[in-house]
Amino acid sequence: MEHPRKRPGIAMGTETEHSIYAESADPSVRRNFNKAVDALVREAFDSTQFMGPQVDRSFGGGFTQFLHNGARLYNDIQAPEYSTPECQNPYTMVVHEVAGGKIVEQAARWASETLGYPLKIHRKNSDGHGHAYGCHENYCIRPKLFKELVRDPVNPSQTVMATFLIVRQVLTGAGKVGVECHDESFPFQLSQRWDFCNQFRANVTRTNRPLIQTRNEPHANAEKWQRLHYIMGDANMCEISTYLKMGLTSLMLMLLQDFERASYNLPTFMEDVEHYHRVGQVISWDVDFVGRPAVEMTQRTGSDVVLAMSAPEILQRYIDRLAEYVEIRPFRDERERTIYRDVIERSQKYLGLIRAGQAQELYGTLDWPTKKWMLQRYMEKKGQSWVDATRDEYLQRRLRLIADHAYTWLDSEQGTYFKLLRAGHITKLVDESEVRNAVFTPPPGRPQLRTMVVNKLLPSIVPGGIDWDEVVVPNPMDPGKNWTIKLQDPMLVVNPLMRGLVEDSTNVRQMEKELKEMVRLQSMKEGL
Amino acid sequence: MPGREKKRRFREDPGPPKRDDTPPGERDPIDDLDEDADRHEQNIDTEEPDKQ
Repeated sequence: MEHPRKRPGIAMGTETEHSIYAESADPSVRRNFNKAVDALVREAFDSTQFMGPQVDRSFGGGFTQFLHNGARLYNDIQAPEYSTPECQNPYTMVVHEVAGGKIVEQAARWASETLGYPLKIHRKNSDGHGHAYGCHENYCIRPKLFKELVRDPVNPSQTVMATFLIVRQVLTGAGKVGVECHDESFPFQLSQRWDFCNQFRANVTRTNRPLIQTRNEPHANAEKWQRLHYIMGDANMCEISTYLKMGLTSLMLMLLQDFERASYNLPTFMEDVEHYHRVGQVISWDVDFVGRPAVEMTQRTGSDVVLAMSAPEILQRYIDRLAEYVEIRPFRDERERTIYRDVIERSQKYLGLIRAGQAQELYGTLDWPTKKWMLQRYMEKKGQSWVDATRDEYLQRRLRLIADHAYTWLDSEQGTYFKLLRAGHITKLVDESEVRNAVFTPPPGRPQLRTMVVNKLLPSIVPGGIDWDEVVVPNPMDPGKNWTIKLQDPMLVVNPLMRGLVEDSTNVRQMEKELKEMVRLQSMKEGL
Repeated sequence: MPGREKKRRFREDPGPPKRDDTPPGERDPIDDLDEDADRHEQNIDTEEPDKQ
């Protein structure tokens, strides 16, 4: 491999659409999802702890706002959606996703008191009746790679990335009982989401969901950063599943970004890309990895080699390549390399267990093995097995209740995941103290700067004037017009100069101008 | 708006015990799964709106 120029990593975040149920004997209450979601987000927005100084402000007033920790909470199509702040490494990302779960759980408790009936919140991807909701991932990548990945014509970067996204479910799948939307009968599958993938590439999210989503909303300086929006990932409960999902995917993107020839020698599926979504489904259903999809590898000589490899074997090839890459990439600092090295070491270890037929050893570490062996132990205690689950409808219903509802319930006292956690069955990644801190404070980088600017400019900010990449205030020199403080670099590092500038500034125009220059110089030093 | 705040406080979470701290003989959570499942009976038949 050639040595790449020193570059920052990739900013990332997730958008989780939580499932919400109102517990009531009245069907009209149960069906009024909007009322439940609005009550939940209103409670969060009424909290000084979650909102910071913004809470007493009259701006906004709608059902979307940025929280003090840099996240965004809103009612999105009758679901409480939590977007984590943009994080600069996968570990911080996990801390903030777990913190988001705590915020939504707490807001649901408050809303339950106000409404007079309990609300239940779940981190899952479907209702079991053919309706899906997402846990979308965002990765801020360079425009050149973005174009390669989302636009015509189909090219090696696209097929390699698509293949990786399909086989990564071997480690990151959330696990699901049964199959939706297809005339297939499997008692358990790797992923919650693949049943709902219908095409290779498109700019839609609610119907005919694509493997490659082409949305072009960078929330950044589009000449330097574009936001890749990946919508087929699962909503995970196990922290380590989320860690590997975000860590491996961001590292793959860095590899493709840094090396023109990164796709060489990585296997891709033989099928036409228009059938890749079917491959993803078949792999999800093949939880014992019996099938061996046909794949091709393009050698440096240009010849194609056709192989039959199992999904874990294909994923192994990708992780081996990433293991080489993580050692040579000039990360900004060694902590970043240590985190990505940890992602690789864990992936190698866990994939090794899966390839050795010992996936049960990952009970409590990754989601799908946890669900599968939790259900298996449940059935064994009743003298039943997966064979019974294929023909006993009552048993199937019980398994769905346990895996899809009880396990995913965001209730730290009564949810099954949390009971397993308290009993020592679940391996945590992050510390509770870090999570608690993330409930109230933004992660390093742009969210930190955004929150500083927001706090500084209150109460001047115009209604709806906070976005990922800008804060808008009225222009005192020209009534009726606004000034926009641009925050367009998602990988910026907040240094003492920036902090001092924001804290001490008495002139918004000057602050905006100097901040812009500081960020420009920082980017220039990194060759951007 | 001033006065809107309900002064609600984020609940302290003591966090999980370490694996070694699990009291010996504590009830296996697998034995509670039927009870856990029963809590969601009302919701399993609820169709939710298609989201993203």
